[in-house]
Amino acid sequence: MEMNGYTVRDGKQVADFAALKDDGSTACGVWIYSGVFPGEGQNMARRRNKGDGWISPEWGFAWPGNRRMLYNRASADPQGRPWSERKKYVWWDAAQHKWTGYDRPDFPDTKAPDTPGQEEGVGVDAHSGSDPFTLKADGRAWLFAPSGLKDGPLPTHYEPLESPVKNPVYRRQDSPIAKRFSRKDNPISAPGDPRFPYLATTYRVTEQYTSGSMSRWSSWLSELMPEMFAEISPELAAEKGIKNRDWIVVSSARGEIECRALVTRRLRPFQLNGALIHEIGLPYHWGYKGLVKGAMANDLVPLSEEPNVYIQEDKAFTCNIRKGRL
Amino acid sequence: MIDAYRRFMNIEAPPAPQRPKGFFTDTSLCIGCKACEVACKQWNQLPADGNELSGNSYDNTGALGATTWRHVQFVEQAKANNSRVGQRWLMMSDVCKHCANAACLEACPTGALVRTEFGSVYVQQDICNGCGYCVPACPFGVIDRAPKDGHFEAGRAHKCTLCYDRQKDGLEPACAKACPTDSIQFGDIEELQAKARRRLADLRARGETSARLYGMPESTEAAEVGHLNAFFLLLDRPEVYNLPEVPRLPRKTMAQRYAISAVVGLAFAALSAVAFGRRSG
Amino acid sequence: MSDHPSPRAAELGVPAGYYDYPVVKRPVWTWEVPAYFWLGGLAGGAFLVSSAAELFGTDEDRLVARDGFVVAAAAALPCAPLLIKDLGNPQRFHHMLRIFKPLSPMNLGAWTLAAFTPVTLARAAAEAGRAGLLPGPLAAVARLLPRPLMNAAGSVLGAVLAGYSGVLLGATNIPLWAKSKLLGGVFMASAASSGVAAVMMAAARRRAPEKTLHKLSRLGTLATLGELAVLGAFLKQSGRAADPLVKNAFSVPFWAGAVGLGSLVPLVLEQVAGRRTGKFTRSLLTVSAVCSIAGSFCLRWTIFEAGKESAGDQAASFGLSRRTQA
Repeated sequence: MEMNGYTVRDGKQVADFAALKDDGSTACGVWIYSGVFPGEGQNMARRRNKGDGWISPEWGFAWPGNRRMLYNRASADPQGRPWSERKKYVWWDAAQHKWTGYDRPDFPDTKAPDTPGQEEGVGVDAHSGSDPFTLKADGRAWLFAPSGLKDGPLPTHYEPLESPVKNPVYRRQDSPIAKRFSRKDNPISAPGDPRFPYLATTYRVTEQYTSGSMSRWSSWLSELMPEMFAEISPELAAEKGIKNRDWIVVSSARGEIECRALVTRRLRPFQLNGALIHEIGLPYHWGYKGLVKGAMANDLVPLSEEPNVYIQEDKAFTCNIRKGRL
Repeated sequence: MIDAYRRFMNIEAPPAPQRPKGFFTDTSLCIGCKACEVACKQWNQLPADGNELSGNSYDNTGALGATTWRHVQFVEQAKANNSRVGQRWLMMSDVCKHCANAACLEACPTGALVRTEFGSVYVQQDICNGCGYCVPACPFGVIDRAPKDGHFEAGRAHKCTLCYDRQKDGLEPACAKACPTDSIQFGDIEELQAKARRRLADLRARGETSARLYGMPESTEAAEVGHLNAFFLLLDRPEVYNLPEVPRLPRKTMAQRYAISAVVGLAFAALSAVAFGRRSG
Repeated sequence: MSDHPSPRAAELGVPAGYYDYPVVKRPVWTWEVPAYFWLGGLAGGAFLVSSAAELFGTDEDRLVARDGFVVAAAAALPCAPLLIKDLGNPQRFHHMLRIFKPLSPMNLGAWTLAAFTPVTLARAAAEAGRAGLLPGPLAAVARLLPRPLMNAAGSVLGAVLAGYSGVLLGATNIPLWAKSKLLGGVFMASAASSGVAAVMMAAARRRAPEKTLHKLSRLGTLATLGELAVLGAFLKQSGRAADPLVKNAFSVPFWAGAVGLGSLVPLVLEQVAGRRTGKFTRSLLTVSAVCSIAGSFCLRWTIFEAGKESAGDQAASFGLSRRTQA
């Protein structure tokens, strides 16, 4: 009931989030679950009515307010007619003067498509009847973001903080506003550094989940991807005298790890500025505990942050490899 | 009299046959996620086989076996000279074929292997005594005996049951349920065959000329083992997927083998008679 | 679909086959199985020879036949325990006999063994009764046993037991066992030569008349020559499927044990013994018989183990299943 929300005076559950007020007369733990217990003894999540259509709005509960698809007003054109007969979803019923459809419309129920936005309106009142994206300030989706980002708005090309090549597009090599952590244990190698001539990238395999700290405890997943490996091309393998399944050491300016070599033609050397640059592929699912253990690819990556959402740059850095173990 | 015997022995009549059900595994849709392999192991509570990197692309389980009833192959196909021209990555979820004429079923001396009412081939775990004869009989290398000293159903033969327990409850097998791309489709075998023919025609029309079906009633591979209740759409020759060109049914040559053995035996009997004939020596 | 060319692998110039994974499963059986085939064959062969000696032979020959039946019983006795020991669930051995299914050579063999063993035991008991080795009442019962009927039944069952094992192995998809259809004949011939050898060994030790010994020796020579002929044809038909037997893993025990010790040595010794008389002849024939019996085991064991090896030969499996030679 706390999650669903209730009126403070009599403790009665609210019907859905539209009944919540910002004046202290209602209380709610999390607004998106508002409406899952709309009344005494009712639990919308337990409903099992398949119904006739393909939406089944009376099967269980979907947040918020039992909407199966967010922003579903966008399935209709500005006049409120479905864009496509085959994909019709919600639409404006002029006769009854309300939104209707297969799903619960994610839009104020009786706001007609031709309603103008109120310039001084608060919340969705500022939106017109043809602005479907109700949680956005202007009610619209953006393909182009002129404000709010720390860089942009026009796209450009920077090389990763570590790159085997110079930026072929601009004199500026890398992002001027990426967050860097300049410490002794987090060095960045310069473009063309002969100690780290190869490109490395990290990625996931289907069988393990992120760092593997959960999936490596499942025997069924562990047997499918049991060991840390580095994917290299047959060309690089031949150059280094490495055979499939050999132990190799992968090093970067920040550390080195040992793992198996998986030699595959899926890895293709790049031709960059006339030079042949090899790429090493590193899944990052292993660690020091679990049914299967292995080296961590993240030990090699530079610590940095993208300026907007602070994701570190794992997808491209430079490295070297040699046959053998640590 | 027979009825009394049946009652005494607690023998139930087998369930009435239903329309045969099976798998159509369309390898052109497989993305190699191995969800089928995991769903199968989870539903059937099969143990993991070991944790070793094979080095063969992303396939670390290798083959079907006593405790692996769905297995995803990863064929990395490229020219041997490192040119990447025509390179492709074929994925194929392999499974027991549930042959119309099943070599394992015919070889089984105890009657543990039976044809179910759904047309699938099933090992009755309370009957199997682990004689191991089904293992070399299978032309596809599917069925295997769990190790005698193992922890899983030791010393008995195991393979895909086509989720007999789920079918009994009207559910589709776990692998087909888990498959996110419908590469594994479960259903009425005749409907699946019709669907497969349409799919093949469609793929050929789109230029995928190396596509072919494996295990249809009219295919060469059905010559001995009959059509396969788990059949495949392949993108290359069967042998690329370790499937035999014409899977053999041992029964087909058995009479000849007995005859040859009998001829040698009779020859020896005749020699013995002559050797001890009263006039000899 | 047969006429459709599927040229992808061929176009790329890469071989067929999925890495080096075998097409068929390696048989799970262990040494008990060839040991059982060997003893079962020997018992069947010995029973058949003894029956022939009793039916067609002189009074002297019949004395030898008596020993032969005891030898057959002794060889038959361990067969069932060996067969049972090899089962994955030995406590369920009787499930073999819960149905009668001659379509399965394994089922046919189980029934044959179940019938043959008591017949040989009864036949040996009859001889023991005649020799006064049984206490009074038992001897009386033993005398009542219908010997000619037992001889006929035991000979047929013994022959089936001697020959079905090769058919059992042949009715699989293991390249070495299945490629040629002659394996049943090979095992039958080997059973014959080892059966004769077993009777001859008993006769030589029991001071049987030399005339009878020479008859056995000649029969042994003929059986061995027959065995070599069928074996040669088997190897020729098997082609590369026989590589583990004639060239690789099991070539030494096969050529030295099965062929050399089991066939060539007895042939020479029997030739030498055929021209002589006296104690030396008996010793020669005893040695010859021991070699033949040991060689017979080598033959079963090497063909059995080499067959397991050939299960791992992907190309041989493809060869077995191809309609046309690629």
